[in-house]
Order: sequence, then C-alpha cells, then structure tokens
Amino acid sequence: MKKKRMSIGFAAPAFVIYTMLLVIPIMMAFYFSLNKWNGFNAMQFIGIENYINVFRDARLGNAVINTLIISVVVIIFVNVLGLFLAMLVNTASVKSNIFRTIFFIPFVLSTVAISFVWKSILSYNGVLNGMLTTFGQEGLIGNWLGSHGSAIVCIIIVEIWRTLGYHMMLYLAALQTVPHELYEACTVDGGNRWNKFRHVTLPLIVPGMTVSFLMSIINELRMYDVVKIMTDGGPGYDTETIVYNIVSQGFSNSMVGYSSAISVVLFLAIGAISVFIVTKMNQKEVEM
Amino acid sequence: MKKRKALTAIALSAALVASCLAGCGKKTETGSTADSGKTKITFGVFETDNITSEVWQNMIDSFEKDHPDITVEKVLATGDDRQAFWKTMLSSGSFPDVVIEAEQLATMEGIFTEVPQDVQELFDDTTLCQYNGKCITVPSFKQYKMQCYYNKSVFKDLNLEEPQTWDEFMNVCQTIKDAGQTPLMCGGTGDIWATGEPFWIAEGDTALLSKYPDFNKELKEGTNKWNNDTTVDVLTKWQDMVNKGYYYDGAMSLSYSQAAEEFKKGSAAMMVDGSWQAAGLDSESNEDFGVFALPTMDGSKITVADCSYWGVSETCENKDAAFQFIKYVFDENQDVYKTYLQADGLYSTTKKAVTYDQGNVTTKFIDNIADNDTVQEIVKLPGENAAPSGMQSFMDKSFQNIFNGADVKTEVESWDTEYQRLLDAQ
Repeated sequence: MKKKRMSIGFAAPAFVIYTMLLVIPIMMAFYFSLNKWNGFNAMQFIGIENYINVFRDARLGNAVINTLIISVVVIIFVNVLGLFLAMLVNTASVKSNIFRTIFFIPFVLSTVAISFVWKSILSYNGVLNGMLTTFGQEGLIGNWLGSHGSAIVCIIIVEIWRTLGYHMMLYLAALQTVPHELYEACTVDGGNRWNKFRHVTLPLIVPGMTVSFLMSIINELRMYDVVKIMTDGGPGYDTETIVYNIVSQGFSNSMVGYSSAISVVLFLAIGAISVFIVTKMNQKEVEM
Repeated sequence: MKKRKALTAIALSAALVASCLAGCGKKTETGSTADSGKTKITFGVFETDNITSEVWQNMIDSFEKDHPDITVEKVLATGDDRQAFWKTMLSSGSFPDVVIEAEQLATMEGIFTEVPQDVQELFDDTTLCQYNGKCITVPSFKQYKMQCYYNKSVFKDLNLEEPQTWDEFMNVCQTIKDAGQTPLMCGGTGDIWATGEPFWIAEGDTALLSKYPDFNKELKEGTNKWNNDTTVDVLTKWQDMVNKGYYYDGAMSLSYSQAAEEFKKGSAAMMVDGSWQAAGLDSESNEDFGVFALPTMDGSKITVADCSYWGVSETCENKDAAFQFIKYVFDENQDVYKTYLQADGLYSTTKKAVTYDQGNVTTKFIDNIADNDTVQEIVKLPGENAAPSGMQSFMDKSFQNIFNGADVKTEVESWDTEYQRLLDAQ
C-alpha cells in the first residue's frame, strides 16, 4: 500500500505538469475552435462553423499538399538513409563514434541557426551560386529559394540534412539490440548478406523502425521553423505548411478560433496516423 | 529511512511543479513600482538598419534622465511580421505599455486606452484618427512612400533622364535592358513585402485612390471591389515588366537587405523603395544614387504618405507614466523626436513641427513630390475604414505569385474573398 502511495507521489508531478501543459491546452484549443475569436475580444460561439471552413479553405488545402509532399519525401529519405548509415556505422570500429557525432550534429544545432545558414547558402548571391560561378558553371546558377518548385526542394533537402542523424541514431540503437549469435547462425545455415539483413536484422529492428517512422511523421507534419526562416512560406504560398498556416491564421489574421480548429484537425490526423502506424508495425513484427 | 525518501520525493516534486508554474506567471514588474521605488513602463519597438537600437536607447536614456522616478524597459519585436509578434505578446499577457505601429492593433476593441485631451492637442488635427468614436492612438510620424532610386552612373552612361511619364519610365527600363544591364531590383525570400509592395504602393494605391478617393470606405461597405479594371491593369503591367526581364534574375532569392545591397553594388540600375533608403544613403554621404518619383500610370500627381501611430495599452497599470513618456518624446524634448525622424527620413506630426537638416537624397525625395496630393496607403489607413489585419500579408504573397507568373485576375479575385473573410472573422 505504502509502495503504491509512493509510486503515485512520484507520478503525480509529471501528471500535473502533463495535464497543465498539454491536456488542458488541447481541451482549450478544442473550446476555442467552436468560437469566433480574435484572441483578445469576447468569444462568440459558432458551433462547428470553423470546422466546415477548414475543409473549404483553398489556402489551407495548398498547405496540406505542401506538408504531405515534404513529409513523404523526408520520411522516406531519412528512414532509408538513416538505416543505411546506421548499418555502416554499426559495422565500423571505434572510428564510428566520429561518424555518429558528425551525422548527429545537425540535429543538436538550433534549427533557427541552421535555417539562417542554409538561407545564406541558397540565396541568389549565396555560397552555392558563388561556388558554381567559381567553377565556371554559371549555367547551373539558380534562383533556389525564389522559384516555383525549387523552394520546396530546398526545404526538403535542409530537413533531410537536419534530421538524418537523429534517425540514424534510432536505427543504430535498434541494430545494437540484435544478438550477434543470430548472424552466426544465419552464416552456418548458408545465408548471405541479403539473407542476414532480410531474415535477421529487419525483423528485429521493427520496434526501432516504428519509433523512427512515428517520430519522422510527427516532426514533418508539425514543420514550421525551417519554412518560417528560409522562405516565410514563399514564394507566394509555395512552401506554406499546415503549422505555418495555423500561426498565420491565428496571429497575422487574428483568427484564433479558426486556427484552433485547424490545430484540432491536425492533432486528430497525427493521432490517427500514429495509431495506424503502430498497429501495422506491431502486426509486421509478429509476422516477421 | 523510507519516510525520509518519501519526504525528499515530495519536496523535489513540489519544487519541480513550482518551477514549472513560475513560467506560467504573467509579467510582474510592468506598470508597477519596480525596485528602488521607481515606476516602470515597457516600450514595444522594432529596429531596422536606420532606426537602430541606439535611437531607442537615446530616447529612453533622455527620458529617464529627466524623469528619474520612471524607468522604461524596451521590448523588441523580432521577425518580419511585427503585428503577429504584438498579438503573441497580447495573448501571453506580456503586451508592452506603449507600442509603436499601433494602427492595425487599434482596429481590435479594448487594446488601447483613450488618449487624454492634453496629449491629443500636441498633434496636428489632420493626423489624428478615431476608432469607434475614440482617439486611442497618437500619430508618431509621417512617411512618404515609394519612389525610384537609380544609379547615376548607369543613367549617365546611357544618356538617360529621370522619366516624367509612365511611357518614359518604360523606355528607361528597355534602354537599360538593351544595354545588357538589369533595370530593376526587388527583394523576395524572407521579406515577402519587398517583392511587390513598393511597386504596388507607388502605382496601385495611387491609381486606385485617384479613381476612387473613398476606396477603403467603399470596400468596407461592399460598393467597390479589389477586382476592378484599375487593379488588374496595374498588376498586369507589373507582370509584363517581370516577363520582359526588367527585374534582377535572382531577386526572389534575396532578402530586402540583400536586394538593397545588390542595388548599391550595381547589380540593377533602379530600385523602388521608401524614404528610409534616402535617409540611409544620406547617412552614408552616398552621392552615387539619385531618386525620382515613379511616374503614375494615369499621370495623376498623387503620393502615398503613411502616418504611423503609438498607443498606450488598456492594461497598462501606470497610464500617467506612459502618457508622460509620450508627451516627453513629442513635446518636451523634441531633440529625441528629431533624432528618431532623421534616422529614417520621417516627418513630424506634431503641431510644434520638427525639422532637421536633410541630406541631398532626402531633399530630392521631398522636392519630387512637392506639388503632389498625399493619400494614405490603402491597407494602412487607420480608423473606421482600416483594412482587416492580415490583408497586407495576403497581398504580399499574392504579389509574389504574380511575379512568378500566376494569373492576375485570379489573384485579384482572391483579394476580395480574403478581405471579406478577414473582415467577417475580426
């Protein structure tokens, strides 16, 4: 009984903090979403009108498409490349620590700082175009952040560069849980490198893969800072993401009720995707 | 032993919760009596290349020296969207006591307090404005926008004169282009306003207000629309200029500062910009650049001159001190007001007019528009017919779309939809 009380005592602060900083704001956002509110004056209850508008808003639709494009490409790249790099680093010797550090550095650095650095690299008179000029490749000089199409590619590249090390570390942690004896057994059974990967590594790293996929999905669907600094959603609306749209609607347009409705829909979408991924990956884990 | 462990756990947990809750508190000293018995007010500002930290600090230091019982703490707005920054502060309960550029926020009821009569009387009546029948802001300066700066050596080499009509301006652009140089510079990434806003203010606002002098009122009443022949014509001509290659190739990948720097380095012969550029050139004693009033498309002699406003927060606990600060800046010690105005090429709005020694470029800037009528920028008009918050940002993005080839008519149609949406929502 005493032990139980003590456990509750330890868990209580975390529960209070979690409730205050997460559960209550989420509930408040839901309440705001049912009101017309500019964030300052009195609220006016409008029922589900904000939710109806969410599905009619063309600019938000464009932000959803941009977010999905960025998310799908980044998720595929960071997971495939992350696993590949983790396998390379895992087989390397003590020197692998250096590579781990090098790959992980971008994730540790401030996103704001690296966004400014990349902005200066990719601006028209920046480092990249300067290097192309130096090497006599003037024909390749591009308006990277200002052209329709190329700006979103720049965002994707920066996001892959920024998060790759983190996903490599997740895979590396998963790889290190695979018992060495299983590889030896596979060798004894005549298995080649592909067989070892397919029948030993892959089934045993599914839990790590689930975490990596989930984290990448959540991170990319919430993307804001890189876009805000590098392009401010531009040119035009070309790189506006869902969260950028939420912030713009809430603070630039003084539509806090409407932006809360978008937030609630995004929250539910991320929740649904997370549940789907975890369920599917758990099934895969059992199948494999 | 177990009891001690439990107590330690409870104490640590309590400390953890307390430290978290500490972050949730609202401002503590603002507007109240801070340490050493002084009254403290917060002053929300932003900084630019011209209006630097020193300009504000000079203002604050002078005031504190003459009013030792009041301290002023500067709150700096960061980022491109200052209105969004102030709204964030408002939501978090940290809104400064005195805020500059208050005109858009003033459209929301209850944010600013009514300005006392004695303070109102310091300002030129024509610059004061009302929201719901109340004067809640004071005009801090008048700023003339936008004219075309040009590289004198390019004009000299190509025997070009400052254009007086739209057709002459087009000829100047074409001549520069034919000579293998870039006629015009603008900014883009990160500073979305720098793409189309300067051109729109010089050509769009003037064209619309010359044809519809009460455009804001008509727009609000629903008797006029953004989507009219004048708007479409101005933006189509602008898009033609882009398509003809009059603009610098990489302009959209440059911030405003980078664009201004490239212009000064000679990457383009002209740049449409505000009076702050003239003040900047004068402060550098830069004689390499001239400025001419961009000829309007319809030949009308109209210039956009915006007033900017300061407001005192309704939640300010020491409104007397806040208004004392305003009186000090605009009346009691006009030297600090003069420094502020001179830094950015601004003009006074007080009855006791403040003048300063202007440099050559600023003098030319003012001479160019001496005979023109002045109007207020459509989306920055203060008072009852103010455009809804967020419209400026929406238009800036639309200008970028048009610059990148979007259909002008479709874009302008979206202005009306967005205007109505924002108006309904606010």
